[in-house]
Amino acid sequence: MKGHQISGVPVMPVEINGLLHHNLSSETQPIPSSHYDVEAIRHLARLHDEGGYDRVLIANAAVMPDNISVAGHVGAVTERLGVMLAHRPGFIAPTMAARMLATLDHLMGGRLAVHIITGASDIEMQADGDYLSKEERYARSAEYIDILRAIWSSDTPVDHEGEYFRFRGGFAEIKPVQKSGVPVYFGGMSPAALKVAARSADTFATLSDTVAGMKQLVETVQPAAAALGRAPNFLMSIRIVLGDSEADAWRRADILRGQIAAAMPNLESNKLAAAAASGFQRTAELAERGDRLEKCFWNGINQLRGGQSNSGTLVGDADQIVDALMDYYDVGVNAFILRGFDPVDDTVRIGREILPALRKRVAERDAEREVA
Amino acid sequence: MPCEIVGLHFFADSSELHPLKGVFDPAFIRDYAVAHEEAGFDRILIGQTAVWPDGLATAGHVAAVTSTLKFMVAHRPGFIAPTMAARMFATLDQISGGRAGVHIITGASDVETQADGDFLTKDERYRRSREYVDILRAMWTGEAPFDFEGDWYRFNGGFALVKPVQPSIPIFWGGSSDLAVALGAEVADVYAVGPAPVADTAAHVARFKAEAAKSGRNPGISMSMRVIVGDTEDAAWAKAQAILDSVTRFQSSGAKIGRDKGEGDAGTKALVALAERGDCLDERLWTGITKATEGRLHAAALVGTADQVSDALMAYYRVGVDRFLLNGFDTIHDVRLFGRELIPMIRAKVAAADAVAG
Repeated sequence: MKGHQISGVPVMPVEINGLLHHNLSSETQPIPSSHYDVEAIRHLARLHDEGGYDRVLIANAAVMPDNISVAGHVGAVTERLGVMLAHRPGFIAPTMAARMLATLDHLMGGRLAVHIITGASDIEMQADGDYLSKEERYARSAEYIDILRAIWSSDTPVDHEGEYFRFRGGFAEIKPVQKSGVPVYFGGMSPAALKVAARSADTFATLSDTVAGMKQLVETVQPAAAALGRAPNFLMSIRIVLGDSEADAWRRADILRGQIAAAMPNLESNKLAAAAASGFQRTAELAERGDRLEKCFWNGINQLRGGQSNSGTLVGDADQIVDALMDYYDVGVNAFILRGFDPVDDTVRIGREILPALRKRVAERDAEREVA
Repeated sequence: MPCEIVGLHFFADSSELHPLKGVFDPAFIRDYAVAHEEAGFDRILIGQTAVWPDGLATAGHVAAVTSTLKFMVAHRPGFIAPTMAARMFATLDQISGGRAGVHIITGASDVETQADGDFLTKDERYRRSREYVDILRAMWTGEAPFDFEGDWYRFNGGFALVKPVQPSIPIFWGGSSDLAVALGAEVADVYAVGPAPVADTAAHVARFKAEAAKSGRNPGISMSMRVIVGDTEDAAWAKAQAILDSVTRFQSSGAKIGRDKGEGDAGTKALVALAERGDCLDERLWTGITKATEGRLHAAALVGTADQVSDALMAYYRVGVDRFLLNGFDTIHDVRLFGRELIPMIRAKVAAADAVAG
């Protein structure tokens, strides 16, 4: 099994991802989510592809446009970019979902990962007809992932009689291009979620946090996973304000805070999820701990928006930001979603100034570890 | 009224002449879709079964490499929450610039539906499909989140932020049982039928249209038909014989072409019955492959020159069929051949018939 080990070799190279939305909305220039912009999707996909990102996260929520056809489209207009497709169990028969994901993996030449999100808000789930409790949903997610993997790997039809799903003769003529199946990312911070992460995740994905916070999280999930013979990767999604100098970066951060404060009345937020999600609660608590934490972790936008957005931010020049990211790498975070506040300019600049430097530093660190 | 010419997507360069199993070939999928567009097809059907690659994901991909070709994505209710399915199709409509279409298929065998975890009976499935279509449309037009409590589905606050580009995504509907006809007549934009002799099709269409008239509706009719076109009639029949030889040769090893839908499947029985009526029905409706595959394949074919085949299709047009789902036996070569010879002829004859009808 591929995976990350802090003290051992080999260590997989760092994965650096971006975010692909279905229009060019940003906090400073919000565009309603009802605006679906095919040109923007193509443009963002190509920018990430050319910018050297490994994957883009394509999010999903109860009223948002579907992301499966977006992923199929992204696969058609990019050469090497992978996708991290957010996917909620409970709304598609798992056998069919397994075929959908296997099909997508082919359409993008083995570049697909699925990000299993279980959903925090009962109210939001009910909008699609799911009336389970959060605890039940996580148990169902675990069964769902097992079924996906069974359908991806089985050469013969499968019968299944589980807690949440039952079928007779489930099968996919199409198997994922990736021999070990489509990688399964998993998010969720409640105790029920962490349990499933340990047993099922190839990559455990979290919102932004301090290095200390991530260290604690890795130290919680990693031993639980190891006890089951698993070694998941850890992914953190964090935002970046990049300046020519430290002073320039903080000046930019100040301007951003003003712009976003002014745009706040027009910003959409997922209040339902925010009220119920352990991850968002954690972000809200983090925001209360101060404007600046650790080396260059900035809570400015978290404070403005409460727990409703994942906006922990690293602020600095390129060296400082890469330093800060290496601190996370050193506590076991080996995958990132890095994004700024402008979906076009920041994607290009982070791709140019952060990605190669971070990859180089990680390679150096891995070489040091090998020697040690 | 102008007719619509529909093609059939394949996941790989596979046909009865050179069957492939379990192959998914994105390059072929793209080439094949583009070939349909260039040949003048209006739309392409992407099929669905309990084991095939997924059609919605494929359609999103094909939309990126085509610009005018519309979709008819086969879709079985019962496996995706209808609110989510509505968003999926609305998104496909957006990403394709208004080219989405949904072909509601319900009547696949119990064996197949159970493979995806659906244990309802066929009649129950049709009733559910009816409710499903209502939900799709309510989601596509709903200006605000709405609650729903039906016989099969329940949700609170269902909504789609993104709506289709088209005023409404066309709903195709298949199924020939009395219940399928009665329910389809209430909701279908287009009713889809399989290949049959003209008299049978005329009766089938009349039965459906009469049902639809009860609710003041006049849906379109789509008919699928295999086609074998030759430069001369003899050449066409020689092609037919070669296809039959190839199928016979392939199956002599014990392999089976077509989809085994289990004992007692009504569709299979109907095809076997059709083949038993003779090798060649009407003037040129050939059942050779249907017979050779024991009803596992919807393979009745019109055989002749482009002129003869288009004449034969016009007989269906006159009894109410206004969409032809045409599929040959030689994948991309046939698509190009139809584009050169058959499709222009069909369009010209339809235009002439419409002009006479005023």
